[in-house]
Amino acid sequence: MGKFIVKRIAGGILILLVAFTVIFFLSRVIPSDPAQKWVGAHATHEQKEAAIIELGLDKPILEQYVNYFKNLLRGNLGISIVSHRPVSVELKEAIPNTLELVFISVILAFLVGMPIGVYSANKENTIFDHTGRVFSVGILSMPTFVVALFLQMLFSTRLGLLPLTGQMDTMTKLMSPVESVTGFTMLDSLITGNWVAFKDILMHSILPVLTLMSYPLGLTARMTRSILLEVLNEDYIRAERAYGIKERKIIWIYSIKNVIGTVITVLALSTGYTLVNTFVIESIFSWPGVGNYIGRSVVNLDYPAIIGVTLFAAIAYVILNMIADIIIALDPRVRVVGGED
Amino acid sequence: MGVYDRALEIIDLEVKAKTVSGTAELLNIKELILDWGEIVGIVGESGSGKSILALTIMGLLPKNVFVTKGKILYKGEDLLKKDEKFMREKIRGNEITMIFQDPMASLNPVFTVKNQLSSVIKVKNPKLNKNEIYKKAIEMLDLVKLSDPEMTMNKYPHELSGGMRQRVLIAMALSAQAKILISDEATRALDVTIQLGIIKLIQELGEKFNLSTLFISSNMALIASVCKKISVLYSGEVIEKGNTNDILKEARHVYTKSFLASLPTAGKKGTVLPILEGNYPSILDKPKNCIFSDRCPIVTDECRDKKPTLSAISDSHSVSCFKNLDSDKTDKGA
Repeated sequence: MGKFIVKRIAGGILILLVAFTVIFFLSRVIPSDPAQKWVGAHATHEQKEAAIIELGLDKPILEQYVNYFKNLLRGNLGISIVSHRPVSVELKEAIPNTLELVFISVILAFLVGMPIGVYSANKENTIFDHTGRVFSVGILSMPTFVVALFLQMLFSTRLGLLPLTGQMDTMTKLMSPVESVTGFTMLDSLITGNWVAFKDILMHSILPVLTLMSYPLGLTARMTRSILLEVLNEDYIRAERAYGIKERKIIWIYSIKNVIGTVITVLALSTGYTLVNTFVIESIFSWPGVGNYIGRSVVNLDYPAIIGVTLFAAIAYVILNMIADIIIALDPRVRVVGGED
Repeated sequence: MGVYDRALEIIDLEVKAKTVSGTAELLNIKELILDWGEIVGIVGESGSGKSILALTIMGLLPKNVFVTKGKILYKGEDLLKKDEKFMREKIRGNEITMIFQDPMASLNPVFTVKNQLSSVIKVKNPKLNKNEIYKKAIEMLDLVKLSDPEMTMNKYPHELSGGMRQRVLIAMALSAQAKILISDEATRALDVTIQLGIIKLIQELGEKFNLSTLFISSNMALIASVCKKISVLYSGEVIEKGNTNDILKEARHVYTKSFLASLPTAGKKGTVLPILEGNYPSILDKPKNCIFSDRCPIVTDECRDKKPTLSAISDSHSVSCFKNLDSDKTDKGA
């Protein structure tokens, strides 16, 4: 197993290398003028020349690539062309906010979707099953930004129950600012016992979380239902029934263990999708995360920021895939290639 | 044995299935009796309804299959009238148990033998503590002659051979002291050499626990070697039944005869085994006359008109055929 994980990590690093290379060269061939952006619209010609040298844009592209790579290894992602702040610092602020949204969404999707799937399978072809299926197919096929706008319209504009956008009210930010412990704002407010801020962030996160969890929720419910139906038709389930095992135990223990690996694998992969989904959703909800950040960066062709976010997304994908692989390898039937077993 | 003279009594049982193309008639059994301590063989080719019969008794029919009429009496009670909870708690495992035909697929692949065997023991003996359950599990594995019970306990099904898995399943089936065992082609998926061991084990344990066994198989030779009584199933109906000797030596029904004739034996070396012409009747549109009339070489107008019932030709032997009731004269002609 250890050997297997090491192999996967090595493979992951290779993928990151390729992703970095592709995004680096792509960002250089896009028609754009980073030096001009760096100095602003009203700068003199000399200032721009100086900026070209400062940014290293006068060097051959391969040399730029090597330099960029060297900096990357030191954790230096370059300076944002728009804000003139280090990209790594900006990402460090944005990433926890995004991860908080994504994790909460995916975990909720699993906790809600799985039971829906199980009940659907259990009550196959009843009203509950049909409703569940229509619901899950419905939210799977609806574009998330439509879901977002719909939720905003309903809960914020019409009912006025929840805030429209943002992570915290300005008043909360000023009156009870969240002390940074881990960087995860909601978690920090909880740790430091800042209940005012916690409640405020919670209220603000409900709509983005509902939007983001719609896709993994539908997926989990559908996957659970279809795999469980298959498993329930297996001979071993019939044998377990024949020996008097309780139906509840058959479903929630004996079947689920055959189902859960696949569902979590799919969920881990759909987490990547959810992460990319935040790119749109955070812009809609003005959530101060990576999605919002890349939205701004793309519009301004802020290529160090774009490379930074792309690398973050690539790392996230690689890690999620690795988690999925490891979950599959935990199945006793799977003999891991390259493992000691 | 007990107040009830019959272990299991199936009367006038009719089982149908709803399919996309219509209602299929799966079983139509007038009478099938299993006495205490007896081994009764049910023989028939695939599709004759053997497994459906087993599942009907266990109350484990698939969702689209229904019992439309009849009774299955066990200890004077009609099992078909019992609800799922009663069947699960009072019948399955501790009164009637079953061994399935595919040991490769009948153990849950993601749980150890220990987990699966223990939970079967626990559900029927809720008072036992963990240690006692473990001891009992080891005892059961020992009983089914697995060479290293303690090691087998911690194995996953895929780490065991087919024969070992079937032994584990037998241990599970018998761990709650059932009185009736239904063996549904228990050796079908196994090598011939291993088959013998499993059959011997079933026989031995049957005697040890005083089990009444319904032994289902498509292998006539196997059935004949194990059972005292045989019922021949054709398209969901018992067409002939009797003591093993009656069936082997004095088979009356053309189908039984051709079934026996098609068995390869040493004496038939070099000859071509006979094949019965024609096909099984469709279960979707079953003939109202004799179900065998389409394939029968000695068919008469009567057979095309009416349906024969199972009628006795001796104390132990009955057959469902018009022609063979008046015994000897038709016999040789077939």
